[in-house]
Amino acid sequence: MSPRSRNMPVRGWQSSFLPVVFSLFLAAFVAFIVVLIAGDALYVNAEALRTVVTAPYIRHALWMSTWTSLTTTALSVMFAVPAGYILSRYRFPGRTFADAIVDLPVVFPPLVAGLTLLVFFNQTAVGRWIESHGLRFVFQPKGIVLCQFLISASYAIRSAKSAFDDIDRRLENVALTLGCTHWSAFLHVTLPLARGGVLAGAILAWARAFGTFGPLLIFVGSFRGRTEVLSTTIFLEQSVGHLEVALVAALLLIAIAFAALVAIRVLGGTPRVKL
Amino acid sequence: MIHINGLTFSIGRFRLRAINLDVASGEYYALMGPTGSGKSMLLECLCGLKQIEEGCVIIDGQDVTHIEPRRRAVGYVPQDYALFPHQTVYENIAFGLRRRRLDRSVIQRKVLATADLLGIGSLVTRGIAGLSGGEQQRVAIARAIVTEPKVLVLDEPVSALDESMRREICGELRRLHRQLGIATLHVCHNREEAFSVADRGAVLCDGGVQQVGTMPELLRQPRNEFVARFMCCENLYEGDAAPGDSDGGVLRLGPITLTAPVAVMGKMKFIVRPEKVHLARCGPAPPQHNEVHGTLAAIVDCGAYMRLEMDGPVRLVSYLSHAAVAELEAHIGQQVIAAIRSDAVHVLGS
Repeated sequence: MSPRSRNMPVRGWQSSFLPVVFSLFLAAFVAFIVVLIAGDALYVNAEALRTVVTAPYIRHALWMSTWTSLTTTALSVMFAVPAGYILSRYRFPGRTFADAIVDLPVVFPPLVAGLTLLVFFNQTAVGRWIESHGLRFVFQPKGIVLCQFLISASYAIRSAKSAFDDIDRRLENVALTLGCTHWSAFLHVTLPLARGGVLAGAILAWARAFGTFGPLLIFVGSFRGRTEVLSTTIFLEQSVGHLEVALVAALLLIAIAFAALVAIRVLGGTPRVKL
Repeated sequence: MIHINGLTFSIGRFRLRAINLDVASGEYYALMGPTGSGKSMLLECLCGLKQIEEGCVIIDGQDVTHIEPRRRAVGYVPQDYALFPHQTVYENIAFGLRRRRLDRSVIQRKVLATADLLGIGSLVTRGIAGLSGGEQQRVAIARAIVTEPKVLVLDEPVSALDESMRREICGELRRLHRQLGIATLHVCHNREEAFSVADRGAVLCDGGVQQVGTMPELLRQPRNEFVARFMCCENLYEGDAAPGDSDGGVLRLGPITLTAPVAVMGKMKFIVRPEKVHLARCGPAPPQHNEVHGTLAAIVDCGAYMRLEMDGPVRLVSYLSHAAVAELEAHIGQQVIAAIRSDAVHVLGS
């Protein structure tokens, strides 16, 4: 008997069915995903693989995906820490609305997010003023970051808020009596303790940004060598009939995202990351 | 050292009502009351962690009512200690000193000296997670006193510990207090705990101070029924009071008449101190004693003393020494006479 089994309550024979039955559902879902990915893998061929590895436009798309998603992640964390802290610690008029609005981009249909940005910068006075004063986003690489930020910052804020929620406020209170200002109590006590949740939110935001496709197509288009990212490459390749190349690019994207998600879980076993 | 005058604070429906407290320099003061009476909230107001609505807080002659917590020179040990889990024992103790930007060697000297004082010198490199409750408690106290505050406030510091550890830590707190001579405010809801550490105390109920006094005063002369019950006074009665023959009064409780040291009128509640109820096999009771006849209903060995319960016209509890019980040859069902001195009777206020 393993130590973990010894830690479980004594069970009758009927109770043994519960984990078996429930495990079937888990196994079915995991198998469903694995089979889909395996199907993709079986469809590709060596030539498609060579194209993806050697084609400059795909390397450029991968580079674009990488730097834009990392920039988006940094921006998301920059907003997530203060916004998550305020939502966690303070009660203010409109807090419920602000909290709900933070989550709104999570439920935005992807195309709506792109359309909304496009309308804002093309049709509103404020948007046009921004565009005309040197901050051009529409059909620009900068627009990729803005689009990804809109879609993924919510995850980082939500995760940071949960992390701050879990920190006992008395820790900050003690820090205040020990000579801290609110700022230094935050920097020396609250933020280090929330580090795991903030990091987990950053990884989620990055994964979301890395895979964003729909809104990008509408807001920044997919100009080869300029605003093309890995997700739009997949769309473009399959739309011109290069299904094998599209699938290799898709598998590359899945592999990178999977590595990030596994990393969260591995780190999740330590106090550093909370998810 | 601590002067709290008319402190009022409310949160939701709960309200601390015009609290007045004075803690002298070097005094160990117990703040007692049941759960939800406002003890912890009062401590937080004292520390500056809550903004009070009315009144003032003066520490060492300085009005700190509107001064932020870090400038109040109050060492605070909250419930469950609130140690910083991401830091080692050393870092926890050094936290306050580092905020004061002291020299590294000074910090090290002070931290190690304080850790030794609390008997945790060997733990300084350890993380917080692996410490026992008693060790965590010592770290929290070390963290609070290392900055040499003028006042130390302890919020139920031993409530999470088992009985033997509680006694040990209370002894250490007392020793530490004698050594440092720092005014200490200790919140607890346990009478024995308060008696083991404090010189004086206050009993809180529902956001108001019920009584302030020395520990023997709180135990033997409770001001009202709440304090009497909180102090676990056993013989609590309600009877008709009338003036007596001399300076004192009489209290009629059914068929029994007890003489009391004070003259009062009307329906009154009063207590009879169990340790002043003497039991004998046969009478009469000595002069100046009230006499009550009854039957022994229970005999319980409480360790340091014996608790005897007598049924009769009223139920009466007596605390006797083991020697007295042996002399009495006490057994359940035995007919006994209770002799109660008039000064064992204490009349409660409303």
